[in-house]
Amino acid sequence: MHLRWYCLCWMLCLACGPSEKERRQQVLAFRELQELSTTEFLVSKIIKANDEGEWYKIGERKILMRCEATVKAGIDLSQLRESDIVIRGREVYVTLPPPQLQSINIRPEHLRVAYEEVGVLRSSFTEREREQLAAQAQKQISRSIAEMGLLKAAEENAANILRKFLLNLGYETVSVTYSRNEKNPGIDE
Amino acid sequence: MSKLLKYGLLFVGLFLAWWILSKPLKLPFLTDLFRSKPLLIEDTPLLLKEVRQIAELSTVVGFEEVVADSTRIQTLSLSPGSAIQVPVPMAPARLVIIGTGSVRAGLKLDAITEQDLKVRGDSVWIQLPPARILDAIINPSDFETFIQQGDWSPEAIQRVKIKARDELIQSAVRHGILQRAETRNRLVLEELLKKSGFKSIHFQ
Repeated sequence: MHLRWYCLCWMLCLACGPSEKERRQQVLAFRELQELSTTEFLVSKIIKANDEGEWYKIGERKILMRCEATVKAGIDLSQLRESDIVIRGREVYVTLPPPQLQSINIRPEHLRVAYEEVGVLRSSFTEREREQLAAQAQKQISRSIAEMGLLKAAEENAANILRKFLLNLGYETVSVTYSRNEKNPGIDE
Repeated sequence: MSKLLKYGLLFVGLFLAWWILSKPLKLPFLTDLFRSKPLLIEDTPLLLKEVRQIAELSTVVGFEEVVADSTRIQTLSLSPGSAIQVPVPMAPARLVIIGTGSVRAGLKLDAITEQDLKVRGDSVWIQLPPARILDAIINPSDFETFIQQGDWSPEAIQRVKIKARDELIQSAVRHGILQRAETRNRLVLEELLKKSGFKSIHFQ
């Protein structure tokens, strides 16, 4: 009788551990933007994970997934002030804000499992685990794009687009430069 | 009996002491012994396949949470390798996925050509292209599998996620994202043109 009671207490105490439940708060609404996307990068990445197990999980699991993402970069026109556009007759001088990564899009059909190996005593990767691995890949992609200097292409394209637009409006000379902030803000993650 | 009681009380006392002191002394909690380490991916190289110049002006973004589901009757095969499948109506396979994503709308600036612009002094007449959906984004981290009963292949799960993305776009359109984008397109371009030195802007 007492032994059963102690066992029950033991089980209840084990269950009283700290639990974490994280749920992102989403704002279900519309938001106004003024983002000009000037460059689209199509990238692909292999997602490789090796689960060697824990002391209570015997066996290994490995997974390889192929992921393709579309990354867009451009400039935020809301940061363009009146003083950033100087007009002298038929000449216009524009100072644009530095380009930034604006969106990463990994479509469901562009995420595929290429190889999976699961030990006899282990269970397969769940969909939630695959999603978590893909989320890590998403962060690596945005970091790599910034480090590879690809935002330079976004700079050049933004300058070309605005130059063409202003020339169509009747200006004869259009000069586009960039303000140099300390840090390019990235995509909100 | 009293010995058992003594040991029992000793055990409960030790456990309570561990529980109280675990946080300040940073001792591992008992349930931490069975907690899995997070699975990390290796840092593999990124392959750049294509770089494209685009000119998309996003003026509105809508955030939405959508639900997509799929149900099928599970079947049993009479014998291994048999093509004859017997439906099991009492145990349908069910999958319900919640997706939280965003839809961007605006216009393509490169669709505005010389013919769409008429300039006279400090006035400009501009023919804007219609507002359009530029992007619908639900990434892997934005999905939550709410119910998963039965066996579902990765391809079947992918189809439900595509359904969720389509529902995201339709929901944004139903809630008037294109109408908002039409209004915002004019406001944003008017602001840009005024900064560029024009005083009077007319949209046709």
